[in-house]
Amino acid sequence: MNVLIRESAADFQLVPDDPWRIAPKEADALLSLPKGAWLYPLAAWQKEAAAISARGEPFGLWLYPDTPPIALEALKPRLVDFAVIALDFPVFTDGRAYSLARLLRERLGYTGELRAVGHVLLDTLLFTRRLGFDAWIMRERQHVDEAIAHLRSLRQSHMMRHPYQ
Amino acid sequence: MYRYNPDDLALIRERAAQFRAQVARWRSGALRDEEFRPLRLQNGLYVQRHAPMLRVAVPYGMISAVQLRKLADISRRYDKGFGHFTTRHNLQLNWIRIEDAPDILDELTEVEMHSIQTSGNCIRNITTDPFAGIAPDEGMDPRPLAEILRQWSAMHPEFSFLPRKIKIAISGSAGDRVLSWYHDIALRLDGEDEEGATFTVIVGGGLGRTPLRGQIIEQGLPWRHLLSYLEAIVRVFNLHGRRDNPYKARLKILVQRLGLAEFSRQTRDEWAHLKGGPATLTKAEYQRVAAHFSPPAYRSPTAQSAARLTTRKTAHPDFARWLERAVHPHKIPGYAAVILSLKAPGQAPGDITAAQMESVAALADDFSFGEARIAHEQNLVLADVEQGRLFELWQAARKDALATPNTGLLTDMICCPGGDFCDLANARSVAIARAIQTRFADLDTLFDLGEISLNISGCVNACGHHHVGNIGILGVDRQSEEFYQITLGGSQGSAAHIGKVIGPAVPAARVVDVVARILAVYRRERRPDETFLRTFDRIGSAPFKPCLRAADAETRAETAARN
Ligand code: HEM
Ligand code: SF4
Repeated sequence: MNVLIRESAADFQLVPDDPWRIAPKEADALLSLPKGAWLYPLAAWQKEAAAISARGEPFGLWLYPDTPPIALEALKPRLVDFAVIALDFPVFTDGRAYSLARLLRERLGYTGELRAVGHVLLDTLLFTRRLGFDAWIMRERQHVDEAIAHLRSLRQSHMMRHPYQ
Repeated sequence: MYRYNPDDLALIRERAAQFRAQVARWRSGALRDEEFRPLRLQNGLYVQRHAPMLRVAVPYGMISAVQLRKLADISRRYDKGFGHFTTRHNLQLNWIRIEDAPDILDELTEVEMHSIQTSGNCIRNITTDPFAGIAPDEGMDPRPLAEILRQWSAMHPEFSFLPRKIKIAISGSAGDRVLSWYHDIALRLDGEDEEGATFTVIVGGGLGRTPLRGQIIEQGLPWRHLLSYLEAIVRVFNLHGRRDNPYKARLKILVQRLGLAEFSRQTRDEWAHLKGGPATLTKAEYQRVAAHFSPPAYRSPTAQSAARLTTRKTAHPDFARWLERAVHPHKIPGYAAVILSLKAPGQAPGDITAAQMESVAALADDFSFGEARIAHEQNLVLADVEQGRLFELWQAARKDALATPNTGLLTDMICCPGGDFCDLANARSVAIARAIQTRFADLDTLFDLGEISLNISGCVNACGHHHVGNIGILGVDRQSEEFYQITLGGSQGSAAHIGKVIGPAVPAARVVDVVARILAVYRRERRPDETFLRTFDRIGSAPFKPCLRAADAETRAETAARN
């Protein structure tokens, strides 16, 4: 079962009822979506931005690691509209989302929730945390306590510091 | 050399603790094998043919006597009392147990060592010139920047899961002793502007199954911008390098696919954002690191010591020979750099016993301010030896088989561990190296053959640099028999290039004969003072082809006789 860990008030918490769901990318399916908290795939957003905004509810973006940086840059003026941006790790060794995260945070100034989804391991919390992720979907409930403890311990960690960044 | 501050030390300790926890989670089943594999590789732990192998980093080749003693001790207690120096400033321990790896790492931290990023798809150990800081042709000591690169790349959050590994070399000299044309990225000092040193950046080189020469992407890059520029290159690679096929995943393949112009455009676009940002180096930071590499307390030479050296040379022809091969010039008058050969007859190239590590430590303490270096040709270097004490050093080094006078000669081979250790091997490269050492043990013959490089790889991954050997020997698999493909004319240095295959592969038993025939052709054809490479460049491969045909005919005759 998937569980969400989120940073808030300078700590990390298990969020029991995460409302966010990934929306389908097909346009007709989009039009009949029930009310809710939807993460839109980039293609859906690109096609239906106006309709999505007009729904009058908070929405987010779901990005696969093959997203071209140039497509992100095109989003810059609208980034404030997204409550959540989720970066997907199809496998934890696919490091493209790390570069996308840095682009979002450093270059494009995105300040909303940045969420790691997919194959998220205890072992990648360090890197994602350093790159400005502040929410993680873990696949297994039993690892959550360990993950929260790990995230807390990272606050004092020398591995979090980077001399040349 | 660089000494860790408390933060540096805390970092590698935490990394070792993290690794211990990873091993425990793997053993408990919380990490699956396929999850543990990339994690252990990032920390230099392989699982090989006979046992796990741990690759310990010797960043930019600098090693202290204290560290050597520790490695000797570790190799005795956790391994079989020896290690193997690779071409990339690493030491491989071939017989450890996985469950001991965390303890080994803890012990390494005691002497400021680690195995971070000695493997895996990340930025690997930074390599440089073994004569850094002392070479007469040097414009700038590359070690402070190499240390900065080490710190920058260690656990870099953005670049820890790249499409494939990135190998970076840095050189501050006119001569190229870092194989800069065959690295993913190489930085070569090229001049100075008003703010200091500037660098040429070479990208997209590499050996392996697709050997490609690097290309110059940037010239005159100010030293302050090295890190931001590297971040731009590696980011383009991270985002656009292929991830579907590990054989097509290296940076060189991306540069080849996009073309240098397009790759360079994308890099510059990224750099435009990164340039001048937090990765920009400051003078203060440079000076903090550079202070660790300030020259030791050299003494002025005496006329007496120079005279003594001359008499010793005349009295001891063996010593004179060793001087000719093992001594490299030093920029300080009265000093020399000395190469301790790890290529004694019968020694697997690059292998070193625990006792030898301790001897090198003692020699370093005695003769070279307690420091040594690792050269990519798999030898060790004592960089700061008083010329007046060379005789004494020679006598001491000889006792531990560290004074074979063969540097730069045929038996100074680069050779990977091959089928004796490596899972990927097609062939037992070390056996070939041994056979060549045995056949060409005679020093007169070796000196007569002169400067030549012979490099052996056990498979197409090219860990033994066979492509750039004057003679290259590559193990290939032919219906599960060991065959070897021979290339000629490869070279390292500023004009480095890849050798040419001279014909069909030959069976293992024929390799040494073929090499002997090739050398006979060289002796027949050479002009006075002409090296093997120059002769080859002049006459081409045609005169060497019959060497293979002769081997072929012998093989057929033997097979016929057996049937
Ligand atoms: C025994 C365990 C080893 C394994 C499993 C191994 C594996 C590999 C592989 C798979 C590659 C190809 C990378 C690619 O083309 O993408 C490679 C390249 C390389 N290895 Fe090793 N290696 C081992 C030991 C060594 C040793 C002992 C040395 C030095 C003597 C070494 C030096 C190198 C170098 C210099 C390259 C770079 C070739 C290039 O530019 O692509 N490796 N290794
Ligand atoms: S060249 Fe092949 S056989 Fe030799 S060490 Fe590398 S991977 Fe192993």
